[in-house]
Amino acid sequence: MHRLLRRSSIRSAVLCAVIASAGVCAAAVEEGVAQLLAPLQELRDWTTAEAPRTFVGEDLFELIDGGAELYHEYGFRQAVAARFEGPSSATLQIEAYQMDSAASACGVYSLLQSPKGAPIVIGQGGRLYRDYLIFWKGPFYVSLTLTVPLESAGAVLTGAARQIADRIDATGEEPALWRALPPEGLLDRKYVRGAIALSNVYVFGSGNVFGVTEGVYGEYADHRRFVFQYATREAALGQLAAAAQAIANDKAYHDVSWTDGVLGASDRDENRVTARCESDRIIVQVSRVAGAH
Amino acid sequence: MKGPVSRREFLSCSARLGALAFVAYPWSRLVGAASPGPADVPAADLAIVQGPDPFDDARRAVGLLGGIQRFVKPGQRVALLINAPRWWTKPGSFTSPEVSLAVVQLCAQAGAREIVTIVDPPAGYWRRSGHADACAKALSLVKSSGRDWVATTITKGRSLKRADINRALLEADVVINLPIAKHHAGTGFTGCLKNMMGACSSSTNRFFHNGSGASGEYEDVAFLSQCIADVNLVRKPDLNVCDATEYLITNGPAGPGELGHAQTVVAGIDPVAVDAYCASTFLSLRPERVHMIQQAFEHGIGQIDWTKLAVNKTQS
Repeated sequence: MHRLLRRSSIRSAVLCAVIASAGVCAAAVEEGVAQLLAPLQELRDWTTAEAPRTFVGEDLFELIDGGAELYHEYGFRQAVAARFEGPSSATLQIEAYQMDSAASACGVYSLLQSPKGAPIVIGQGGRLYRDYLIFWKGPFYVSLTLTVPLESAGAVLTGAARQIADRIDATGEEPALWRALPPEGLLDRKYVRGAIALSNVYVFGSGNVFGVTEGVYGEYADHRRFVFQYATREAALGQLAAAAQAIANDKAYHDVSWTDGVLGASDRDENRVTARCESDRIIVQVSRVAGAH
Repeated sequence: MKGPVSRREFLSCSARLGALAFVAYPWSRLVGAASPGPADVPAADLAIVQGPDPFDDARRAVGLLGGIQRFVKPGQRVALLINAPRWWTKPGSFTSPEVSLAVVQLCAQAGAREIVTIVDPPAGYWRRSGHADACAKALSLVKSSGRDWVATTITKGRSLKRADINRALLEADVVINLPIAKHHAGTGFTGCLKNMMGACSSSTNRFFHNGSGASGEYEDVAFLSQCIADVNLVRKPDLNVCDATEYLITNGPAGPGELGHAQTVVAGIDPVAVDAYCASTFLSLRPERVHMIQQAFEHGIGQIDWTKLAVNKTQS
């Protein structure tokens, strides 16, 4: 098991070993997570407006209310949040979310980032926007947000982010399923763990018609590609048949076809949607039709 | 060559010029003035005001609906549902205090005896408005409604049959909904309809997310959306004033994310129409594909085709 943080105490380790089943180990990890946002040298001219607070499991709703459901879908474990006040009445809000795996943290990051942000080498991947910065490292997804525009925004955000990233000892693997996306011409990619995340990319009918629990999305110049992973080929075939029926009954689609195990349909934007099985996966392509937009 | 102007001609011309000057004068900018709006123009059902001053734009939008006096009478108790709870802190995630304060001022000017907040804004919220000092008297009428829940049956609810609703929503003389139009990762959009969740207890709201028994606890967006539509059957706000000045267009409801800056306030009596307009205009969504808007329309709560309403759009 990777040691997540550099400053885990010997006392915590002993307590974990002795009373692990009682959940004290979780408390030690919780304490360790809070250390991520302990006083940051990069913010020495800032004051702590709200000391770090930890949110575990369902408590995440207290931090971000309905926004919590997305994180839970990805496998949320706990988060720590703090707020700092600086020059010109600026406020810096920092949140670090610990997910159930590095792939999940990477997935959250992939969904919430966009190519409009400048790539930045922090953690295992990050992007800098005008007033905020997000990155991931190991099982952690971290966001830093300024509430007032600052000339020094870039420096403040990157400085604090680097220091937090340095406190995270663990690294991890990106989602393996990303290898299913052809790399040529790939403009953007996302990893999803369910219908909520998927609906932020493309809405396939009403409800989770493909029964997605794990999938990837790739954006290309003239089409979008989805790869959904299932436990078995039989499961994939069954889900494709169910999706075909759902889409055929959905008024949002027309020109629906179901031939030789390949689903075809046109959406209201005149994109052509095709879906087929490949082994234990469903491959869906949403293609822009020339002259349709 | 025309002869000297007669006394009659002079007075007639002067009167016309005077009337023109009266109409052109920006009366809305007078502190303490009642809702602006041309008296002879029929009240709109949907008012859209774009401008650099959210406080003034909100006042003008209500004016285009006929003025606050259409909604608030002297001595009435007004309940405000402002989408600015303590957990929405990032830019574009909460209703601007400028918009909220404009409505508070209008209610006070209309003679409201009490203004209660169903969801309490965080400390310092009102002070963030540049008009806070000028509206101090109006703000003195504002107080919290408290966390008093009433078990309410929703007979026509399809997924939500009962809910714990804030008593102020049920008993206030007037309810004014003050949402922000923004992206929402779960439902795609949040505005007037979803803001009604703010009037529900946390256990009721948890049911919205978990109650369908879906295999993945958080995956049943259709159920969540139906519950939102159902809860809007409890009480339709008398007025909706929706903030579309600065709002999240990605990564809502919490952010951080990309921001839209339409600098617009949208006001209307029909929450479905306001949401349909805002979802399509500011987030490029098809209203019929936003489940809760479609389902609320099917309930008969409002009109999804906002173009069928009397719309007044203006720039200040």
